[in-house]
Parts: sequence; C-alpha cells; structure tokens
Amino acid sequence: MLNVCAGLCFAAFLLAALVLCANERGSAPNTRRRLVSVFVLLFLAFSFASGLSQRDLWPFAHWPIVERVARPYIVIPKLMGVDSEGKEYDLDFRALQPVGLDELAPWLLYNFTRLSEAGQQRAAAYILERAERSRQRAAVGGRVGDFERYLGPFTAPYFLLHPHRWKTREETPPRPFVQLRLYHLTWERGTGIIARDLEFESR
Amino acid sequence: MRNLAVNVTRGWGRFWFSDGSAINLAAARILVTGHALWILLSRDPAALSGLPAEFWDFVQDTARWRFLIFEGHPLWEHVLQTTALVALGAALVGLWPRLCCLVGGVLLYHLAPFETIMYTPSPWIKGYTVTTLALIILGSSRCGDALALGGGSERPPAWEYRWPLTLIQVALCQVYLFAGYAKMLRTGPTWLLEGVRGYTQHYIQNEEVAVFHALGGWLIAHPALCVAAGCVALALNLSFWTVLFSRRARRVLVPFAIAWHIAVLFTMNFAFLEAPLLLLFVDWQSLRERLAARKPALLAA
Repeated sequence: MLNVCAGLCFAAFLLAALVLCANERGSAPNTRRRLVSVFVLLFLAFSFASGLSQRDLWPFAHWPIVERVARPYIVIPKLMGVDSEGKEYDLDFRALQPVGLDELAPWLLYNFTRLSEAGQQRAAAYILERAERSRQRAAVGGRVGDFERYLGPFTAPYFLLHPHRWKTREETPPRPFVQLRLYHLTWERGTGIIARDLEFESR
Repeated sequence: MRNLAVNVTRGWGRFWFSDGSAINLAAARILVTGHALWILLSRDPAALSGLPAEFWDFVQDTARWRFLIFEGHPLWEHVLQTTALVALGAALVGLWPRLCCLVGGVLLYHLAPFETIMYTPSPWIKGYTVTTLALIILGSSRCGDALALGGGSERPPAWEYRWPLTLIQVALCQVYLFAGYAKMLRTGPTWLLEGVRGYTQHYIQNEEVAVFHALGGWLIAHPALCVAAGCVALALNLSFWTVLFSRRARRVLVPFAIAWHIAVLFTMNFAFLEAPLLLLFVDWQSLRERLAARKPALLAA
C-alpha cells in the first residue's frame, strides 16, 4: 500500500512539474504564480506527510538517521573467502560490487536464511564468483571493485564507511577462493564482538 | 481572521516570489547535476538488474511497479544509465538544461532503488534523494538562463529565479528537521543521553565498518562529551531550517553543518552524501560581484 501511495505521490509531483513547464509562456503573472504555488504546496504536502508520519515516500524521504539508541546486542553478518588450502580471508567490501555491503548485510541476515538450500548455494556462488574476479584483478595490481572505474580515489564513499582490505598485492589473498563462509558475529555494547558462529558454507 | 489571511498571503509571496538571481539558480543546476554525476559515476545500479533470481525473491511486486524495476534486463538498464549520465552532463554545461534535468530526475528515480531493492525499496540514504527532487524542480524552472552554453534569450521576472532555489533549499532543510523529529519521536530524550555514545561504540567496534578509530575511541571515553555532542546534533537538526529566513543563521549554521558532517565521518564512520549540496546556500551572485569589484583594484595594484 505504501509503495502505491509513494508511486502516486511522485507521479503527481512529476505531472505538476510538467504542467508548470507547459504553462510558462503566455500565462499572466498572477496565473503563473498561482500555478507555482500549487506546485510548491504539493511538494510541501508530500514531503511533510512523509517526514511527520515517518513513512517512506521516496524521493520524499523521512530521514530516520541514527534515530534509535544502539541496542545492547547486534548480530553482524560477515563473509569470508576460503582458498584451496582451507585458509580463510576477509573479503574487501569492494569485491562484492555492484552489490553494496550496506544492503547485502541485512539481506544476508534476514532474507538469505529464508531461501531454500539450493537458493542459498546459487546466491553464494554468485557472491563467490564476484569476489574471486575482484581478487584476481587486485592480485595483479588492478582495482578491487567496479565502482572506482571512472573516478578512482574520488569515488563517492558508501553511507557507512568500510575498510579497504586489499590495498596492495601483498594484502590480497594469493590463491583463488573455492568456498564462501557466512558467519554471524554478535556484538555486545561496550565489549565488542563476543561470539562468532558459522551460519553457512558453500559447497 | 481576514488580516491573518492577508499576512499569510503576503508572507508566502515574500518568501517564494521576491527577486532572485539567475546566477544563483544556474549555480544550483551545476551543483545538483554535478552531485548526481558524482554519485552515479561512483555506482552501477544498472548492473544490479542482472543479479540472480534469489536476490529478487523477497521484492514486493508493488515496489517493482513503483519504480518500474523489472529484473533481468541489465543491457536495457545500462542504456538508461548512460542516457541519465549524458542528460546530467548536458544539464551541467547548460545544453537543453531543463529537458535534461527532467530526464535525469526521472531516470534517477528509476535507477537509484536498484541499489537497495533487494532489502528495502527506499534508497533514501544513498545520495540520490534531494538530487532527484531538485532535478525535477530545476526542470520546471528557468535554470538555464545563466552559466549555460545555450542561455535563454528573453528574461522572465526575477521572482522566477527565486522559488525553485528556495524549494530545493527547503528540501535540504527537511533532511535535518526530519532527522531531529525522528530522534524525538522514535526514541525521545533518551537519545540525547545514549544516542551518540551507543552508535559511536557500535561503528568503531564493528570491524566491517570501522575505518577511523581514534576520534571515536576518545569520544566514547568521555561520556559527558557524548551527551553534549547529542545535544548539539539535535539542536542543529531542529534549528537548521532558520537558514531559510536569516542571513546570519546561514553564515553560522551552514559552515557549522559542514564541519559537523566531517566530525561525524571521523568519529562514527558514516558519510552524509548530500553534504556537498550545502553549497546551495552560498550566494554566488554576491560572491561574483565582490570578486568583480576586487579585480580592477588587484589589476591596478
């Protein structure tokens, strides 16, 4: 229902903008001002409806930035690549691009576990393939992820920063990944990571 | 009652329809399109159309229709993404700026949600939000009358340059206002006591996120400072809208907000991607006039 409302709001906003464009020439100044006022009122109605109700009508956003208090315990999903010798490596977040870690993490936590076993294996195979392709590129001194292809160091960061792990050839895992493991880390407020549970490993 | 209505109408007219500057509106066009290009060139939403079916299993049909997103067409989405880049580039330099802003805005509305749709349909935090709205507003305004390769010939009344820029500035102020409102609505005064410390602890101890540790570590060692920082954050959130009405507030709060975002980056490890749009509050027309006035003096010296 919210998706429908939000879609209609954007459609109405866009339509109002087009009406405003179409009536620019030949309108009397007062008529033009009235049209502009309707457009502005429409914008204010949609944006305040989203903000005050704290419901998402994107691009009329409700901006709930760090609006809650951090919980005492948080479960954090963590992906590890495993090479042919069974050694585990941290993945560089850029190796997963075009998928962003900020979306992949909650997806792994809430949606991945609801997939069938075959579905989990297929999704893991895709992630593993992306990670291995990036590892190969980084291992010969190339860029790790796809997003740096145009702007290099001026690439926009993610909302949440993430450490660059494969900064040099030496820091890049030397052998091909053959397996993916998903851990759930439990973070306790004030202490840090207190548990590390293996949730899934690809075949 | 009648007086109130007259006053409201007058105030409305003064706020939206007093004289504006073609330079300032054109500068807004350059800033907004430049920002959109920065984000879009730093991502690849079209590629996400080709994700395996498992990533789409929990996407609602209504979300698909809302953004006209249907998976499995990466080639087609790349055509749209390239069109968006070309339109934004053209709008930046002022080639058919209004049409290009509208096209860019509509395409960003379609492309941006690819980044988040596997988990949530709303990409509100990804840097496209104010930009998408601003592009539609710019497309319906006289944003190409200055600083453009193909500048408009006939000059409209000066108020035509005021309302679009003000409306985009309102959209930016809403970010702060709604962020403060959300904190008070969802958590209440407890947020002041625990918000900053809790999030800073979480982000600097989360090895998947933490890039900067020193400043955040120092901050959480001083609980009173964390409470003070929470109070400042909320005060900034709830007072930022005053920049719409007061030049003095603008001079103080806009640089302060920029400094605050930099501090948040180094303590909490998150980047507010809309921060460059704070330059929309600079009066580029006055700056240009001041520089032009100094130029003869500099040349004489």
